[in-house]
Amino acid sequence: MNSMLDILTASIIGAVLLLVGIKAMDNAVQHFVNHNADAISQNKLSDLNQIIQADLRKMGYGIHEAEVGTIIQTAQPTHLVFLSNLNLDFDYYIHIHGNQHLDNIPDTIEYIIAPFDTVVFIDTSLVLYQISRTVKVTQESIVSGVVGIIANNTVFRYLDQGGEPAPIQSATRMVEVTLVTMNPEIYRSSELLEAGNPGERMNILRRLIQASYWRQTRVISKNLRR
Amino acid sequence: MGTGQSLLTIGALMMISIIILNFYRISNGISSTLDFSRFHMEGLSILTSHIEQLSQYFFDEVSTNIEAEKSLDMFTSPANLGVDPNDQGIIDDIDDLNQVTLADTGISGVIYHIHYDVDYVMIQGDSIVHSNVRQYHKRVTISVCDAFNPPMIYTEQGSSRVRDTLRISTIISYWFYN
Repeated sequence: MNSMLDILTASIIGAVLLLVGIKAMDNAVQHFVNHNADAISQNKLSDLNQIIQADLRKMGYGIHEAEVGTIIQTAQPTHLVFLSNLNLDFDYYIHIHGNQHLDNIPDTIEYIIAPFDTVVFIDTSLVLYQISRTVKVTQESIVSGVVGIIANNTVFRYLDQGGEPAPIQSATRMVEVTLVTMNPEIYRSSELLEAGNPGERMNILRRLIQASYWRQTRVISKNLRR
Repeated sequence: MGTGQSLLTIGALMMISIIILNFYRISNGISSTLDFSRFHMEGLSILTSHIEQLSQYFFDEVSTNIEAEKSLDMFTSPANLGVDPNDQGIIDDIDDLNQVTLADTGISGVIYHIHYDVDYVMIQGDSIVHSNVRQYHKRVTISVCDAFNPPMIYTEQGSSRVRDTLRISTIISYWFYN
């Protein structure tokens, strides 16, 4: 009888330990996947802002000061086109083509934000947007492609000298770029799956999907009147 | 169940408790590291924005008049770097920002304190050093720290987190051409 009781007790304790172990393993996988998704998201944001920064740094380069109002060609929250003289005196083009591809004609760099994907979580969803970049340099073929995926569609703001939203396009002196990245490839926990309504599910999603942020202001033309 | 078996069971339970506790401790550490890099990155983006915005200002109050070249003795003296009396609080040259502290925030909603220091610098050997007299070069140092408690940008000292500051210096020089 004593042996039977021992076996029963050991089985119960063993079962409890096994359940605790399985739960711990489940939590470990969930944390690992979600942390990894967060780290990937931060990495992608870092890569993306390096590309955008490198382009925006050239904004207005080689454009005459009297034409500062024309540097920004298109000024929308999801669409930016600006002028920059990329082959005015640029080692890269000299290296490839020699001097014949250098000119004094303004070139354009264009950014377009467009819907990319909608990730559905049962009764709620997350929309992702792609950033397309097109560079048109005179005498060169057009370079175009998607440079990144973000989670916000209002990316560009156009500010005047005082940092306030520019009332008209020609008054723009600074461009503010805001980027938010999220990685929806998360571990879908039981809490998420069992949520009672879309609002509750969205709140759980916000806890699970971590966002990374970047907000930078770029002056469209440097002040040369020191 | 004998005493030996009971002790063995208690030992097993203790071991699994320690393992679970350590797991959550490690996981919490990873979350903190990711949060740190998240706000470090945002703080850095705001800091570089402020450096970028500097480029729209004149070198000195006197160089807001662009008609003639300015000499060293015309510039603001090192002791008076700051908002000029005739500026009416509006910043128009670089040294107006000296000792200015302002709050800024990114899309995360975290508030960052931005602090400006401006001084004259000169080249000594192969180093850039502070100068107590007027020079053609001004150094602007911008410091950023978050306003949260506990801090989001920090260094670990022992078991506690000490608020840390992101700091970048940039040098802006005066030049004039006809």
